[in-house]
Amino acid sequence: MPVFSGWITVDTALELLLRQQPVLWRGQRQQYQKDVIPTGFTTLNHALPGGGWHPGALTELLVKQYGIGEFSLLLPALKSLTAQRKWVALVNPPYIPYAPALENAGLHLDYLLIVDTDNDDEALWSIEQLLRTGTFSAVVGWIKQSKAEKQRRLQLAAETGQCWAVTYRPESEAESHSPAAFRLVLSVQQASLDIDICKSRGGKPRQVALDRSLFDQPQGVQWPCKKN
Amino acid sequence: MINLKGFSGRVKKISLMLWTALYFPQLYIDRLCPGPGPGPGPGNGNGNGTVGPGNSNDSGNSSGNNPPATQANTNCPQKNSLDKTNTDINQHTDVPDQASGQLSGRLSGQLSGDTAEDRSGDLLTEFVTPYSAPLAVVVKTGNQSRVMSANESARHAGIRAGLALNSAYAIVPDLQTVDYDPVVQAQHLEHLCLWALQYSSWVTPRLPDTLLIETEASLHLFGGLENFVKTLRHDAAQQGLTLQLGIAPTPAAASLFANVGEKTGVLTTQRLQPVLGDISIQHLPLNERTLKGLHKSGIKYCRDLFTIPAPALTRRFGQPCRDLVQRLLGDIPEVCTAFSVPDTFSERLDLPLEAPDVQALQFPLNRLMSALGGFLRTHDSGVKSMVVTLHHHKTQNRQTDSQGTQVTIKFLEATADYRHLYRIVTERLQQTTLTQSITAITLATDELETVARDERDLFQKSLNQSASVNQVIDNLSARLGRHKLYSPSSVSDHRPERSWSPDTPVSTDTDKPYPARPLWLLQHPTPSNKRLVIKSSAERIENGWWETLDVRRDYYIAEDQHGVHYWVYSERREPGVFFIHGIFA
Repeated sequence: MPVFSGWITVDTALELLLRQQPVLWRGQRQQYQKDVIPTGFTTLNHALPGGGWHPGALTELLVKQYGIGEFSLLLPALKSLTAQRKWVALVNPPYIPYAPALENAGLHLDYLLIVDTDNDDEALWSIEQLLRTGTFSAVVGWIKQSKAEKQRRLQLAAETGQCWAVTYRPESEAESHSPAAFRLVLSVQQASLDIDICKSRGGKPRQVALDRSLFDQPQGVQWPCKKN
Repeated sequence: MINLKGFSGRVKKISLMLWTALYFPQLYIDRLCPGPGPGPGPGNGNGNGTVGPGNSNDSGNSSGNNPPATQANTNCPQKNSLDKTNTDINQHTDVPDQASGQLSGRLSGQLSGDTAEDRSGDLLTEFVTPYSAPLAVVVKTGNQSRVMSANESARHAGIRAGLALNSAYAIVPDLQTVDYDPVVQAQHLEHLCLWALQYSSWVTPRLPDTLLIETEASLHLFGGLENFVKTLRHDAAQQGLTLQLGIAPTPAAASLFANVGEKTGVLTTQRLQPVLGDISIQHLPLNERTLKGLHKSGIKYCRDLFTIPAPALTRRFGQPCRDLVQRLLGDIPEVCTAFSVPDTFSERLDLPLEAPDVQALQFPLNRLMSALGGFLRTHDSGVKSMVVTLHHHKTQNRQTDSQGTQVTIKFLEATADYRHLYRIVTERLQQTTLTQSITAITLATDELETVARDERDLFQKSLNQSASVNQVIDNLSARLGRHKLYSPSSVSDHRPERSWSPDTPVSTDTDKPYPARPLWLLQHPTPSNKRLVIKSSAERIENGWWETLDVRRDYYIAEDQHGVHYWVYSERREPGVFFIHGIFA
């Protein structure tokens, strides 16, 4: 009936308005998280609320050491973002992000910005700037030392810009408080990457194990390589 | 039809022009130490809107003073008076003055509420009035020095314009004085002309302290007179300027209204005579003798003047007096030469006191930037690079004073948004280390380019996404340095060190996909001191013997006891020694 269709439009318009308010927390929030970014790993998708990484939220990845597949974990999501011609920024990566490997993984390098910084403060500042503008769809940063209030700034900036924010921090920070919406502790057990989701907004803490061979193919590694 | 006694044979006139006179009674002192109440400098893009319509890429809510916005200014005093008389063309707007000090309490209360709402910029807390010591501008006439104007704290102590300098010293012993310089005043007015060009294409400076702006043509753009006046006031207050406005169909009447400083404004010629009639002849820009003569004849108000026939006016009080009356009423046209804009922008600003660091430059920079904004708007172009020079020594001859710290700022794309410019420049200047204090700043544009206006559709923020990415990159590189930001790309070269490039792609036809490559590459390969287990067959890379980087290596994938996979190689020259070159992350 035409009379009611008008009301329905108003209702959805109101919904849209409410959804645009990042600071407004609503009880049935979970159902509005439709625009999650699939992780590319089925088991991890099931473990995260909404079935993927959340834009507008800060995700902390706590790692003991680099090289255990911690960055490969993000690659499928980053690949899908750059494929949609959305910008992705890497801030203060610990080593040179190697272009051939990134291309192997299918990233569209034209939409990748890398920011090198001299210290953690500059890295934090850059991440916040990038998040706040809303022109980047994902910002990944590597930070050695941070504090809860600094992380809170990042969380707020991510909400403002509706941007997916990821920070890598040392595993030693796992005990300290953090306002990040998601906290994942990554550790390695022989052939698997153990992901301990110790904080998850709108979800439950749980453990997931990913087979590390999943990470090989994006980097061009084809096991088993024959050893002469 | 208007019936004017004594003026015969006049036909009804419909005004096609509307003039706004901007009278800056304290321009000189305002430039030395900005008055109270101004808001922040250009905000961080979130709080304040754009100065003019439509050129900003700001992602924030530009609700503040965006002129074309159709927001209802329900608490704007002018609006009420307009609404009452909205029925016909004979409107009489009350245009209150913000800083004249002659306001009724009701109006000033409303105004302060009005301004507070606009000033929600992020820099609010950073703003400080630079000089709070009593300061007066002194003009010499003959042997005597008199105070021309004084700043807030001096006025508070009781120093008034027209006071003899000796008496002023008696009141405030530690009064600082600055000599009035007509050249500097002209310079100030020129800056203001550039600034005012963003409101109208026709700006006429009237020395020493008045600007005339043709308003009629701009009204539509700014969304009506109320919005126009509001924008003007807000922008002037941001620069710390005391401003008195007058609006009238003739330039002479507009300046008169502005000078009188009362809440007067007339939109049509018909209303002009009754309103002008109430003004005392003391305010007329006539010489001393004529004024005395008028006074002696018992003429106290302009309405008395209007009753005298024109020939009699000439005979009794001289040609200038008659001309003035006729120009006031619009019977004879007034020559208003439009201010012509120079082709390049290069402005120097002398600081009244030496600034010890870059922080103290915020206010002067803001002023230069707003002049630059007007300049760019008139040229309809954006700036691609600019040079900021910080001068350290005061010299008499300005031409020879070329030493100073020069900071060149380049932009990825031409921009005309002066808030963005200001943000970049302040960020850049904060990175500059200074050895000496600053006495003057020069701002010069190097390259101008036609700027691509950002097109917006009705609902989206901005269609031009990459433009804002460039702005972000500008923003970051202002602090970190341009070389810190890059987009990687792969290059067709087998040597691992050469097969990526930190900037724009050199060659796009690479051998895709590569065999196993690590996500992390080490800047310098490090000798391995770990116990590694080789997990793959060798990949031999031999290339570049003709260059300095001669690669003859066998690459393997190796694993350490923690399960981390490394990309290691051994030189063919010395097999058995392994170097780590990358990490599979």
